[in-house]
Amino acid sequence: MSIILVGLNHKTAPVEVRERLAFSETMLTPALRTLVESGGVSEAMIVSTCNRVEIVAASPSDSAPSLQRVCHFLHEFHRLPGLLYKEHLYTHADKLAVRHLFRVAASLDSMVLGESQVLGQVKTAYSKAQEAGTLGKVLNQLLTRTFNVAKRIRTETEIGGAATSVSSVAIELTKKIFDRLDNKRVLLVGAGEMTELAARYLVNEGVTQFLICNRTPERATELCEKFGGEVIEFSRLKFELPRADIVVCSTGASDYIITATDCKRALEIRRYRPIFFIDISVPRNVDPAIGKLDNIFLFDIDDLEGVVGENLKQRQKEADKAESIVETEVEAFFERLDILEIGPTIAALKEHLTEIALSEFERTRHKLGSLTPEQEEAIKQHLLSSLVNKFMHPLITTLREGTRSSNGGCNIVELYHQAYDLKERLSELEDRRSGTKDRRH
Amino acid sequence: MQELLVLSLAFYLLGLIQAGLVFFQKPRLPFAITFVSSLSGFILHTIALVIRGKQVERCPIALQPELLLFLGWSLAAYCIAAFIWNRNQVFANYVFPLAFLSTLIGVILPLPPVSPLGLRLGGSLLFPIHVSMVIFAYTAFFITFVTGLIYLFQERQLKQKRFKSILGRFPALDTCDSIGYSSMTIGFILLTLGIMTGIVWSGQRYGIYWHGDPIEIATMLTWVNYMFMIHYRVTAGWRGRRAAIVSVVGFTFIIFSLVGLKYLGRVHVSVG
Repeated sequence: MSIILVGLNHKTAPVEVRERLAFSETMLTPALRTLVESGGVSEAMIVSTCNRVEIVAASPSDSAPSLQRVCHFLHEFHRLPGLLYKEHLYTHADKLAVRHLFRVAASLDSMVLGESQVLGQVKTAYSKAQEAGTLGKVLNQLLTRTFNVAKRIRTETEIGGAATSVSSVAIELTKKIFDRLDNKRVLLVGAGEMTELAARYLVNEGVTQFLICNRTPERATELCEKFGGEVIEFSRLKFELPRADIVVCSTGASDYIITATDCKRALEIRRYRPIFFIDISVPRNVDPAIGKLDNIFLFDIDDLEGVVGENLKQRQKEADKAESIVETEVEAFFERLDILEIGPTIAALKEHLTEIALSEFERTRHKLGSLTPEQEEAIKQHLLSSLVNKFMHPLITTLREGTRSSNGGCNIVELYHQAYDLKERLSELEDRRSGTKDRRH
Repeated sequence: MQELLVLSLAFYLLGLIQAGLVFFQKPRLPFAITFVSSLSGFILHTIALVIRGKQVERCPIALQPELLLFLGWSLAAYCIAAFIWNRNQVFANYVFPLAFLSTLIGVILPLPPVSPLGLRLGGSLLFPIHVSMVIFAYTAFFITFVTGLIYLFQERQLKQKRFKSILGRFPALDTCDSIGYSSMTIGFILLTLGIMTGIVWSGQRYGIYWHGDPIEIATMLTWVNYMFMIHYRVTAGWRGRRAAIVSVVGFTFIIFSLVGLKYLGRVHVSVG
């Protein structure tokens, strides 16, 4: 049994390639079914987003040929000749595959480190595969673990903590000054892309009142139609300033368009209610001297980017912690998987050997002379069972090592089954287990 | 009574832990648990105060430990009211440790079983009203003081562009400002009532309305100080940093008048 993963992401493939290998929602179910029916794998799941395509599968045979087949499937399904995009694909087997999946779900492999969307996308992919009926024991186990690992990393590290874009940092700072933004009036100076982006963030925070001021009024009117609010003539800017609680400034002007005098006047008219300035234009459009006034808070692009940089550094630090969590979880996952796989064999073997020991004891019982019931019990409990355990120990070790080396594992299990004739006993054990389960229900 | 207070401190402890978690930006305890725990603590605290009142046959707010216990009680009352008002607010979390601390010191200080004041204060209801009004007023001013400190600290960090220490930690500046202002107004009204009842009580009991002792003078100065602060806020727009500085200075003055004047001989008509 092997776990394999074939995929491509924003680091290995440009968008032209990613879009040609992506799976749309309607394609997912047929793709999964084809993969399981003809791709040589027993279980499969596909995560397809704008930044990545990942095919996770479990295969009963060795990993190398399965990986080959999945690569071919990826091309054939998208009707691409040969292995056109082979150099953009990465292929992982077993530990590396599990590790990769853990890293993807925990957003350690994302474009923006620690973003939270990708976990949701993996969850959706999982439920899609569930609907398509292409999941089994191994992938169910794997994905349950994956979600736990992602959750653990979220709670134990601060990888998703601080804001990582200029706009979201600006919003965070605004919230340090104003408790609520829905009753605040925002003045947008300049109607370019940056102000539009900022406006969109502010709308998300509940802002409804905008004043829009631009040198060319047409563009201002355009923005006005999008977000609502009123257009202000450029020449009237300083007279309208007192009405604004938040000012976002981004124009191509080469000097200050809001001066300290304007600002002092505005404050007096506002009875010193605070004004928050965000100046994202280069060269700056708001006189930096006003930042020294009471109740005025001014931040320029460097301030905001400084915070972004610090936050990213912080996330990077947290990512190191997350990586070590991933490593330990990968080990733990395989240990559990081993137990899942060889557990029944070990139980059957133990039962088999114990039976032999007991019957041999009964056969030679008369040669042992008179024994008290206590002595008899001691022989059964201690002598025989410790003998059985001693015999089993090397067998279990070989079995474990065999499964861990991934290719020979199944054969060793098979070998045991044949050598000790365990097949029947295994199914008997299985029946007994499901019997107790039924009774419990 | 002492046992009840210790038990109520134990209940308060959970609120204290929550405050720490908020401050260090760790995942918080569920609101319901800390709230119910603080509320239970508060109820026990209230019962303890009532029992004390029954024991000494007067209003239990006259001796120093009693005053502290009552201050802790009123701060806890403020926090609980604030949490009922808005469970997601950050600010009350910063006041709660002070309620805990005040109660703790009140419990630790030795409490004389029966107070000699019991006889002197008589049965007049005016005296307990006077004392509790003044303590409530000081509680309110204390809250203004705390918001002022938080405001000044945050404002300084923002102006110096050091955001790390404040992001996601304290309430927004305008919240600090408005909580500070409203509690200052409430405090001012309570102090006015407290002074008035004190004057009337003194008149009834001693026939003199004004003794001119240091506490009386300090209280009047406090009253004038806060009156000016409210006045300038309304007329000249004193808000933000300036308001915060004045409220911090104003409260420092109160502390000085309460603690410092205690060592200047004959202090106040009832405690004298």
